[in-house]
Amino acid sequence: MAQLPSYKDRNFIAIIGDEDSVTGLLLAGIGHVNGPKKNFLVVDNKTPISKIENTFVEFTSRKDIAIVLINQHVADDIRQLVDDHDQAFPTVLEIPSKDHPYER
Amino acid sequence: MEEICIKLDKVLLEYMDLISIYQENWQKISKDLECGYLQLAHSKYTMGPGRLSKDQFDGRMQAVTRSLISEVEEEILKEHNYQFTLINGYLENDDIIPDESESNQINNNSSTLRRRNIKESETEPNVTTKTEQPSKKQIVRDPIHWFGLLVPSTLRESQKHFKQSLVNMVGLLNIRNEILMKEVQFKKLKNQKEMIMQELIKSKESINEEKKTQENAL
Repeated sequence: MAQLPSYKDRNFIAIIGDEDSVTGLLLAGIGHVNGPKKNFLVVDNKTPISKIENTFVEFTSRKDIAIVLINQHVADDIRQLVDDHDQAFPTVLEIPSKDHPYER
Repeated sequence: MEEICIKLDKVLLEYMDLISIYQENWQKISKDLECGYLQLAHSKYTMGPGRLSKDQFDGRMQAVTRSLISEVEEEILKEHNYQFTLINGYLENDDIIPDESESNQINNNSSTLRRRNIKESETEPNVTTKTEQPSKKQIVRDPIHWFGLLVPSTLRESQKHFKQSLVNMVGLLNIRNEILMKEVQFKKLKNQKEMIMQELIKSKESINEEKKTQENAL
């Protein structure tokens, strides 16, 4: 059987954001838990930046994630990492949050 | 030369159109998310504190909305572009999760065995129905039920808005890919045009030089 290209295995949509964004998008049905592996991270005031960085690196290196959604204000905290990500998959998309509406 | 210029204009116009569609899409996403957040806040108020938080998330959740990536071939440049599509439900190669309804059925079958005054012929159909059922059976669980069976209508409204915003987000990513593709096309066509221009200049220079040599010879 012919081997499928690597992007065919990428089906999940991951999210890093505040509680409302994560709750809303999990309500839309993107949440997936496989043992210790989750495809979401709830960020609040107490979340250390190192944890956000590690999660972002984990999501961008996983082979089953197609899209990484991240709140704009969270992306600003790890701007260097987000800007350095230049691979086609997973695609990173910054989304607005409740307290930080979309900035053009 | 004219052909390339026409192509360049066409690509540039398409590029501008895509950017305006991209911005429209962004506004739609912002609006949907805004409505979603508002309805979510209303639900939090209705349901009371702590009823709609990350603590209520199902620890065994399975994704019911996923994205598929497909390859699309660009007509002009014969290059590959990727397109995202959203799908609902599980995929064929998903792990089998023991389902509550299935386990209930097994319990029912075992309870029939406990009945004493029962004929064998009566029990047989039950066994056959059990074997006929597909081994892989997954029910799409609505994540809204993590927060209770009777949830406020505002939470359902919020879910709708978030679903719509997710559809728009995937559309936005596809538009972004197309914009990047157009940029590549534009650069290639511009390079081609510059090459042709340089060739034209060179040929003009050579003609001028020939003319000068002929004049000098005369």
